[in-house]
Amino acid sequence: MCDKIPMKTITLECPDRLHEQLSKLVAAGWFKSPEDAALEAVRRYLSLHSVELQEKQIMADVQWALNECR
Amino acid sequence: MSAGEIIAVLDAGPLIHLDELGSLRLLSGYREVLLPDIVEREAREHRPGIQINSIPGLVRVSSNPVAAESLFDLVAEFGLHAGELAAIAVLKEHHGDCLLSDDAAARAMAEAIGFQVRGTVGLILRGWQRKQISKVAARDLLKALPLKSTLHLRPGFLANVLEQINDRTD
Repeated sequence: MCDKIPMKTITLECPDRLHEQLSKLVAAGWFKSPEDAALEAVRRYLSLHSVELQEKQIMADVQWALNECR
Repeated sequence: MSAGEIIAVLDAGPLIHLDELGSLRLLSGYREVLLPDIVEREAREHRPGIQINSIPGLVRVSSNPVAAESLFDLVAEFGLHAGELAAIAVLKEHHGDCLLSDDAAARAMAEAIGFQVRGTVGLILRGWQRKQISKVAARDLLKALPLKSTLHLRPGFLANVLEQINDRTD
């Protein structure tokens, strides 16, 4: 299914220390390869910068606390 | 389901942010608060002196990569990292009810698969509603978020949140 998604290739020079950390996650079974781990890191960065989504979720928390939480 | 029956699983965000505010006690009132080992490591990297042992009902659990494997497709869709994946895997494996996270992607994924989700702001207001802290104290903690914690909120948004609680009685 993934091969239907349009993809671009990025060549990345990764500091040894960072690569070592990615490799540890691979060795622990969390990712299939350091490249997969790096891709997840990019996704995470982008997701964390979705201000609209974060604010919508926090406001849902506020409404829950004010109306349902006891 | 009352608060005392809920099993919550911690992601690093609320753990770090509440510690930055000196308010880890606001995690009390759950039946259990499960802390995956990988989440604890993340929190200790940011806050070496974090007072994790002060959390009432804390249960440390090992992250299980095999249990997490079934979530890999969703992980790719939502873009989670290891700590968040571990927290959601623990939630499923230990039949938890609620993820405590400030990460937008982790929250979206946990909600999508049917779990409750609360973040630092919700936990502060929960503390007020459960009479653990006063309304004034809750307001002060919310105001302190941009000053004392690493949870970044736009000033205009925080003002909106404060306005929401202004008209509520203590």
